[in-house]
Amino acid sequence: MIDGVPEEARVRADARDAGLNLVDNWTVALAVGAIALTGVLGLAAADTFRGHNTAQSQPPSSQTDPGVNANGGFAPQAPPDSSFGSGGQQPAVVSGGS
Amino acid sequence: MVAHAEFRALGTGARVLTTHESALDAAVTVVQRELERIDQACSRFREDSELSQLNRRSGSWVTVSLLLMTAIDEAVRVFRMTNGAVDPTMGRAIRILGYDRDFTDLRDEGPINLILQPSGGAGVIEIHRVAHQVRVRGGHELDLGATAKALAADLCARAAFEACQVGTLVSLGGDIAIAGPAPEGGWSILIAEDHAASLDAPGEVIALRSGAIATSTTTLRRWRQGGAVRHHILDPATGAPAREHWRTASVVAASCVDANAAATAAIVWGEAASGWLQAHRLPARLVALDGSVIRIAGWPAGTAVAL
Repeated sequence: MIDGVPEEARVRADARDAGLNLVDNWTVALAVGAIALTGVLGLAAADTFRGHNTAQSQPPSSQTDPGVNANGGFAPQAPPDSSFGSGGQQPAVVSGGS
Repeated sequence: MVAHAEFRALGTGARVLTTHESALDAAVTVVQRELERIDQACSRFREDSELSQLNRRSGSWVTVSLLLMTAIDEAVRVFRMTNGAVDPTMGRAIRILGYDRDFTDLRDEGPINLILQPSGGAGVIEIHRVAHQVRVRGGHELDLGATAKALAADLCARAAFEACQVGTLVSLGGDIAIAGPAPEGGWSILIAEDHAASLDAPGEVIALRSGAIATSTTTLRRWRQGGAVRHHILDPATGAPAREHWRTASVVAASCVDANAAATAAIVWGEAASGWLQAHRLPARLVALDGSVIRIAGWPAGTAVAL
């Protein structure tokens, strides 16, 4: 007997505490594992089943155009001012879709 | 006197005009030689083309010809010019949508599970100019259809003019490039939805002295897939056929590549396109779904009507 507690009861209490600690550790580990697994599955699903954008393409904004023109040379080249002729003749060729 | 010749090339109708009849045969020979080179390099429908080999080896560095590298360079430039509206990495998307062979061979193959394939953007294309090598990352495939035909018209017109020294017009499926001096009054061009329209069909006629013109439309190259109607102009932002606001867009520019890019982008952008075309002084004629027409940036109004 130690401090008035029977030896047998103290051993049982220690065993109970050890068991509770083990359950506590397992609970924390399972919670962390579940969160991690949820994240991994979420990333995998996002990569596998991609949604799609429903917003259509837009032309470059007028603010970015001048920079693009000056730096990248990506602006389309307009025809010379004298491109258009007098017209009115029988057509020689058709511009249309194909 | 203007002379002309017609033949089939690149899966469409080709027409070559020269200002001198005596130079026509030589010009046609030059054009056909150029077209064969371009088809061998850039065709998505030929198993033995360089582009098909590049697509089969997606993810690897592949050695390519100077011509294919030039075509890819132009496609990347157009991508940036149009803010991604004309995207060369839509090859897989359009194949998934059922346009995986020459258009005349397409037919409805019943219900399918539609999977929209977002574009990769020009960022997935790597070019090693010294080694003439290209790599396309991310499992994407290139489709140069939007730019290669227009580039072919530019290259063919220039090559024929340099070889023959006479004014030359080359039309490939309605994408038209001009080189050298024009005939008096300019080259007379009928604007239509279908490049195969008869020359005496009703419609507007313009006269061009220089530059190029291209027309894009959603009214042709439509097909059914799983009961749904598709058209061939995809919006890279969605991976699906572009929402139809303009049914046809015709644009004049300094080169056919730029004209074609602007016309295609106009279809993709819809209503927002007119401001961009005006800002870049690109004469354009846009036809809305209801048939109403707007003319932009000096496109001649009230032009002659063909007989």
